[in-house]
Amino acid sequence: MTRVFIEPGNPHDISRADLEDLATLVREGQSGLAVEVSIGEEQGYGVTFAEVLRIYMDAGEIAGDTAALFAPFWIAVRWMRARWTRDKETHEGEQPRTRYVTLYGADGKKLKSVKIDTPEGEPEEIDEPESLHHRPWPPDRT
Amino acid sequence: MLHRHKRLHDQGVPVGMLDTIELGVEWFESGFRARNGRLSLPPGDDPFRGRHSVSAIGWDDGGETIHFQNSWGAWGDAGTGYMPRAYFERHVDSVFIQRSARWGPSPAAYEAFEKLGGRDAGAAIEAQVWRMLNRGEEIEDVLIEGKRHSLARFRTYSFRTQHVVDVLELRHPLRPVARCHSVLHLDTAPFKSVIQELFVLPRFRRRGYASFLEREARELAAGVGCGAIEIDLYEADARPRSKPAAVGFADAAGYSWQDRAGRRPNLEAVARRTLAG
Repeated sequence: MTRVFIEPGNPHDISRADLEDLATLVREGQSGLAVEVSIGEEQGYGVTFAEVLRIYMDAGEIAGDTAALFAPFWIAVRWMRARWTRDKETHEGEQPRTRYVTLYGADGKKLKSVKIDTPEGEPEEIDEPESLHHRPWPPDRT
Repeated sequence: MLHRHKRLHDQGVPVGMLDTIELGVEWFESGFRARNGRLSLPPGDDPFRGRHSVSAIGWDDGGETIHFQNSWGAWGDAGTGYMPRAYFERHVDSVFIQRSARWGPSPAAYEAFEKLGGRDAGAAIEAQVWRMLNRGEEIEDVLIEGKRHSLARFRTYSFRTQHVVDVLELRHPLRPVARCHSVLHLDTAPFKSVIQELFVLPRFRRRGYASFLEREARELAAGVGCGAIEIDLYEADARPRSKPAAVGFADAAGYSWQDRAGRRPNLEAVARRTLAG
């Protein structure tokens, strides 16, 4: 079974209950996935202005099926956009925090990344140079 | 410390050369939307968002508000914010003072680069590395004895006395060959500049490097309104073999000598020249 981990960049940004809701959406959106929420410890100082969500996927079994590979990612993007929209409606006249959603493969390499920051909250794919730092698989979190 | 920070910055020492005061801050949701970066005490239901780090850069309201630099681009007041005393007392859990240090260029660093990459292959990389690590230098090409040299200038300050220090360094072609540290005393009347270090590597002496740097230091001093410039002669440079050269150098440059024995630093004499007002 293909494993998927959902992890917030900042453990204090998104509640476990909210992340579990997202995990349920991902399971319902695509069968055959083992989806887990992974929340790490706070690491030192350095809150970011952006709210970051990482999706880790052991994509080996479905590597040939692009739609299946990216389905959990796009579900997460829609979910993050809904958070952005809610934020904007709650605080009228203020630009909400930027949101990032990034998908990593089992080898720790970044597969796709999206930024939500336009005035309308339209997700934009971002293509930044690959970092030399690859994230560990599976994320060793509690 | 913030007073000193502000004074040195006003006197032209770039921020990158100054100590920084890092505050470890508990951050709350309301802080992301703080108007003009003005933090206020979070209400009880304000979600905690983690510990953040900001740099104190000044104060306001007679010391009741800390002005800080954030790292979030245009957030707040052009990237800066304001923290009232009550927020500091309840939600700052650490304060670090960070002292800047320059990484070369130095003869030792140059030797290390040569060993790593070789003179030809490494020269451009070496210059890039030095400049990258030591931002804030102004560099210009100068001709001395018909040969092209680089003159690097940067402004920093003395950890010991907290005075502004102008550093001048000659490089040929990229190797440091001579250096001058002139300390600006902007708290005296009239202002004065004191050359505390004037050094030429032994095999580059008697080529006019020291005279060139002394003239540059004098122009810099005059440029900030100094009424006099002095050269300290230390005990170590006042031995029978070296003292005549030091005295001859200062005499030729129009200085007059005053004995001024002192300890820590171990001074023997001071050469002084009045600058035109």
